[in-house]
Amino acid sequence: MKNMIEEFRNHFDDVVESVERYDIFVRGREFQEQSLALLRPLLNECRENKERAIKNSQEDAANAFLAFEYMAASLMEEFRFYLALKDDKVDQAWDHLINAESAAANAMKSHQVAAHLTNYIERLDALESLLFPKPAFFSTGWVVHRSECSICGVEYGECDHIKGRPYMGQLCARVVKEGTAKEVSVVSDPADKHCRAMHFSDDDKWRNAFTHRIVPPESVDHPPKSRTLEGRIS
Amino acid sequence: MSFAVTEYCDVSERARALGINEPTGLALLPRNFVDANGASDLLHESSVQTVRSLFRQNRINETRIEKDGQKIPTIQENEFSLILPTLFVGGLILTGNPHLLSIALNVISNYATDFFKGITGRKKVELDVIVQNKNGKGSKKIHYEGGPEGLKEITEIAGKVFRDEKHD
Repeated sequence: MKNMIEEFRNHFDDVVESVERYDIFVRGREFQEQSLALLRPLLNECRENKERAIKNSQEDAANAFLAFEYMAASLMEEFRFYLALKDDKVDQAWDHLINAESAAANAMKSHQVAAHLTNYIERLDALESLLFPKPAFFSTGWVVHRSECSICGVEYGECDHIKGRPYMGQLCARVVKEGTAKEVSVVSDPADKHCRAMHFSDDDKWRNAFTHRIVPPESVDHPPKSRTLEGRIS
Repeated sequence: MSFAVTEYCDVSERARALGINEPTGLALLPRNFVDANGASDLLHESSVQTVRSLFRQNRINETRIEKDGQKIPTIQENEFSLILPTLFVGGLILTGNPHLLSIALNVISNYATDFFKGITGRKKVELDVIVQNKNGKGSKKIHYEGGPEGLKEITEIAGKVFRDEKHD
């Protein structure tokens, strides 16, 4: 089993090394698009290997391939981040960068094969703080009446799965089934960095929180779409 | 990291007033144990179920304060910090089986380390440990705030608080 992981790691590293020189903002966008195209099949290979390991009940291998999958996804999100910045789509760029950070953190949680990612995550974190102003983040408070384990479906806490830990190619999450919204707070360190103020008012105008450009009122006046109370907490 | 020791309520008396099981040994108390209007207002920290699973897997016995069939909802706040459930430590634990607290804190500390894996920046953990007084009446609260690495130090502080010694 170790050989299978090692063999794949060599192949994974070869592909990553071939695109790594382009994961810098100033590289030509055509190279970054090509890198994304090279990473897509790698991501699929990670998934296929993971599925095979799950089918053969090889938990360590399944978790290792989950970590590879998250690492490939993180790198792809980093390339999408640069491309979105070049397209002047800063809100999308933010989302891609945060996705890259989350995927890298999940890779580290999934298996030791991703234990080396600390410096990579610090680099993403540095990009976040150097390229963006610190957003006003929001955090929602909930009273949870019922939640389930994403691995086995029983009441969370009554099984032996622990959220954030890997089990046969999946990270355990607590799935909230019934809850009551309690409050929304402004916080400096949110659990979800996607949850941020997108616009601010300036007299009778609305401006984008990142670019300060005036945004059409119809894009901010609409109330948020109603959402169910079901969600995943990982 | 910081530790603060303050007076807490008489846990047994308060549990009787709320109509829940009186905690003995190790127990996990709701966030608003002291000031809830009644048992139906009680709220556990969202990490309580995880800590319970970890205790069970590590054969750490916990007295459940919930009566059979009673369920206390949890409060989920999505700020990035780990707020652990209030850990009650009965006097008998500190006289007869002090290493149990050390094992429990070790389990919690390992979980906290895993929780922050892949996360840069501030790693904030909050934990209240309630130490029952020697005479079984009244108790003291040790409030911990800091990184996962400081959690293990609570064992020694709890021992000092129980013996009524000054801690540094």
